[in-house]
Amino acid sequence: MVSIRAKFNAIYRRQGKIAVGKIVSSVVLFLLMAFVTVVVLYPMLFVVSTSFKTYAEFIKDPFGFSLAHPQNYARAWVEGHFSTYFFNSVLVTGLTVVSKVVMSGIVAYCIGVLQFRGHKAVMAVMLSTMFFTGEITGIPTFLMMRELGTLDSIWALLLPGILSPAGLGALLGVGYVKKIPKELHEAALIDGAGVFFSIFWHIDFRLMLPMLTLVAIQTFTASWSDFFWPLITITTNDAARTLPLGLINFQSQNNAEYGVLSAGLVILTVPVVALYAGLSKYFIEGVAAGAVKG
Amino acid sequence: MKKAIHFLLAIAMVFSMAAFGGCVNGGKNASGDTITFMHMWPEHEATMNRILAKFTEKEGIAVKASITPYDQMEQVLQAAEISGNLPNVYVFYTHYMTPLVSSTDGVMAGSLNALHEKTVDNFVQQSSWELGKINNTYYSAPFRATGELIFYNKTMFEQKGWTAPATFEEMETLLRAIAADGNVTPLAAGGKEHQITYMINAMSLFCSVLDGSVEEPGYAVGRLQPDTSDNTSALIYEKVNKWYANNYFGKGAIAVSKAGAIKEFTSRRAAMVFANVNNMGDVTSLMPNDEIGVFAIPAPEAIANDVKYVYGGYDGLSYNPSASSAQQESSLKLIEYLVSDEVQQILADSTQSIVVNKNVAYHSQTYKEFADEYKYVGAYANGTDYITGQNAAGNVSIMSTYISGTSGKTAAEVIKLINDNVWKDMQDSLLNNPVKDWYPRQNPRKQFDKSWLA
Amino acid sequence: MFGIKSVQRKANWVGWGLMLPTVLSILAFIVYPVVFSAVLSFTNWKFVFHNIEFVGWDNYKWLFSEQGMQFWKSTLISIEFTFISTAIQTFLGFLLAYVLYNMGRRSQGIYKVLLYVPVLLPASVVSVMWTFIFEPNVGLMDVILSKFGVTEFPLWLTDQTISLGTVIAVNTWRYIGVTMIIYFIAMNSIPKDIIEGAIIDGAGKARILWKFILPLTWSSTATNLLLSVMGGLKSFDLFYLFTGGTGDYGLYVVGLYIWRTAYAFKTFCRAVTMSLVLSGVIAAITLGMNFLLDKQEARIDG
Repeated sequence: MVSIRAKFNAIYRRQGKIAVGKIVSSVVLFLLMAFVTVVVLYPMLFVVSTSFKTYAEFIKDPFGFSLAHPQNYARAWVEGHFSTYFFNSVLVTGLTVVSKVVMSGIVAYCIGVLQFRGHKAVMAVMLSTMFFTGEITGIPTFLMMRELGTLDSIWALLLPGILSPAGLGALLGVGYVKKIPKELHEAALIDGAGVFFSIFWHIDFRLMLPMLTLVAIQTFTASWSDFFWPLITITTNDAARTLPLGLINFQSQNNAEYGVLSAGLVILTVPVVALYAGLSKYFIEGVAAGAVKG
Repeated sequence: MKKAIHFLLAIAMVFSMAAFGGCVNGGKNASGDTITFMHMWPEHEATMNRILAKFTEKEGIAVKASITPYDQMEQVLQAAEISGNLPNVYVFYTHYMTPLVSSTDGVMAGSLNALHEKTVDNFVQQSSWELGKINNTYYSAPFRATGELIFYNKTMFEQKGWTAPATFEEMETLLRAIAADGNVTPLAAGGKEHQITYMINAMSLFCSVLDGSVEEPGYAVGRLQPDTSDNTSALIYEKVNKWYANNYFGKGAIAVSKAGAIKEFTSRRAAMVFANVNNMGDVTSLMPNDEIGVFAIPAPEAIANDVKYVYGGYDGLSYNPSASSAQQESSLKLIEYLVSDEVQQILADSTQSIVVNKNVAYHSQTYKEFADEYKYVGAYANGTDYITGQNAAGNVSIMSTYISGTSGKTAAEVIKLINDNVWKDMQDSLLNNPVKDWYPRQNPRKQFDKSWLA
Repeated sequence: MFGIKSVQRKANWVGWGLMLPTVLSILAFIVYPVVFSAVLSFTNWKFVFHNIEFVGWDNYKWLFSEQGMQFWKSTLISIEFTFISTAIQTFLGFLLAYVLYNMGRRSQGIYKVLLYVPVLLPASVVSVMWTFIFEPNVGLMDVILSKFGVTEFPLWLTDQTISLGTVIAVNTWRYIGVTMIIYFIAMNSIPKDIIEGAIIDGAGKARILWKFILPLTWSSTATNLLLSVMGGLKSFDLFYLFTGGTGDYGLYVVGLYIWRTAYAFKTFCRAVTMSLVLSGVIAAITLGMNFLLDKQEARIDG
């Protein structure tokens, strides 16, 4: 499968048009990407580098690169109770992500493909779920968890995570799914795929994969690094805590231990980045064109 | 329509359950054998656990400890209260109890009057209790001092022939001398976090002592009527503004953060810096102990032996008054134990805290020096009997902006603005019910020598 | 959707059936809190549920009185922040996605991850990083500037004229990945034969960009605009972290003000009142945008 760029180059070369403009634009492009890379990379290297310093070293030279104190990581892991909390984080975040992806897929399918009666109104309602701030949703949800007796247990994290509405997924999913050509569905119907489920499974789910991947990533990030909700719901039950709470131990009022804290933050962030790197290949697949041809 | 009514009823139900939620704290008859304790010192977790173990041994009461970061304390306390799980004993700031208590009418903290009676004589600074006194009730027992002193570089001072000031006048001379030397910043300050305003607070305190305001009943409740005809306050503001303009605090100090100021000090680009004793660990990792000295902002010569200014307050202990009486009894025992000689000594030895108990012996010379200066935290403290809100919250920024010379207002205008803001909050019926007003002066101001304000 | 009536009827049933869990979830997690908050906006609820009384419209009157002016001032700051930020992010996101789209497979793989990592960082990491970068005299920005011979450093976070710009820059750094990826996905889903056809017809890159890529990714533009606007108006954490919660120096956005009213001043009744009004403002702006964007999309499709 030859890339568009290659084809483009082939045509240009054939026509002998190696314009000066092309060189200039390449240089500009290179500079732009170089600038972007540095601006994006440097702050992250800063945190990684800090994670290898002691507080004294950090204060003395915050911007120097260092690999001197890997024991910060061991300390972060042990003092932050990471081994206990890691499992909880994985459980809560995993279930939350699965639930949101499934719900997003269903909502996108129903509103975008089935377009049941009243779907425009429902879409507006789904959109509106993203208008409200934490002050509105926080305390009532907390009270609900209290009435259900789930406070101080992992259920206080699982229930809101799994059951809360997938507003973002709806927005992303519906916008994307509308672009799937109608011909596909009509073809499937003619082919006798009378059952809506098989339409969904065979056509739309596969094609929605890039968007659903994005929803998965966003949900994962939000759930994995959520600090405030576990803080107020899990008060004494250490066995139910999640990773971000482990960082509390390094954030005191006047002695923020930046080195160990950074190490903890790196440990916290690495799974997310790894997951993203792994899933990012789905961002290219799911092209509708091939399906139409075939 | 019916659906809406059902909905509202459901909410009313939850609502009322929530309202009564505070009563459900393990039941009214829960025994006092186990109590919960919440503190905000992850860095001292081990020592606290040791102390709590000793308490259990002594009294046979088990204590379950938990830690919350200091900046999430209010949200966590609120969530705890709503879920009926307010810890039996919790740590908060003695000087910040008013909003917590007044907005909840004593639901969140119980009276410590008896304990005050019993132990106040053991305290280094007896009036520290006043910081947590609201409507004649003490709600917080000071536990350890926290505040900002001026750290100075002893080695540099020796080399240049400078000495730590004992009076305000000496301090001004010192600042001038260091600025004239031109090599280092005289007093690095985190202007972004309003540390430069400490100077205004200090001088205001000194003036209040000198003109007798501290004896006014209005002063004791924090709302003594400001005197618009008197220009003393304006002189104070103008002086600090002049100091800023002379770069006594370093160029662009208004944008520097606390951490940035400390960095200037540890890189020896500043001779002095505002810092908290809790920063000691950081500072000493870069400078040897004996290179560092401290002093609190000294008063003018006339009263230099009686008072100094430290911007600070106390980490304090409060207890849950909605718990069962057995639990409350245990809570009080724990609080009493935590301010006892034994525990305070452990704290001084193991955690480098500045403790509140006067019977403690500091084994490190450096810490002894610190403690001597910290005893002024809470001197002439008052128990403000009204709550401030959004208007007064902007005051410290107004002060900082004036100091840095970017506010475009005169000192008198700024002072009027600040007082008006406080008054607006006092008159806000949601915050203060009944609304409060200025407390008129009972006695005229005493005259005093203002040459140090020139 | 489906032209045949019987099929559409069946689709309606299936649709509602599948949507049921979501509808219930919205009732529990959105409708209930909103009604709850609305009820409490008519009380004097301050911090905990104790001694609460109904006070009628007092909180709303307060909001429109002189005391409540800060809410409107903050909302204006938020709107300013949101629109500038959204414009920059959408434009830049499109540009970067287009550059990525034209890259070879391997560079694509690297940059996709690289540009998205800031989105994945927890807020605490972002704040530690950037606070130090902007620290006067010793922070990275000032150190770099001094290497270029600059002596008078701009006060990045305390100069009212540029502080918002500083935060917009950090915010862009943080979320550009999302905008970019959404565009990137959309570009990749343009059927390749359309592009190939255009190339064969002799279209230059610029023409392809303007005539094909831009219109065909319109729904992503719409999505990005909506996401940025909704997020921007509620934006809070960067402002909290850079000002220590006070919102000084021109950074007092409405999200921060509401938070402060709730937790610092302990007047929750006012905070929920403001939140509800803010939600109304967000709704008006968002639904208005949505309507306009849909119209534009219809024009493009036609």
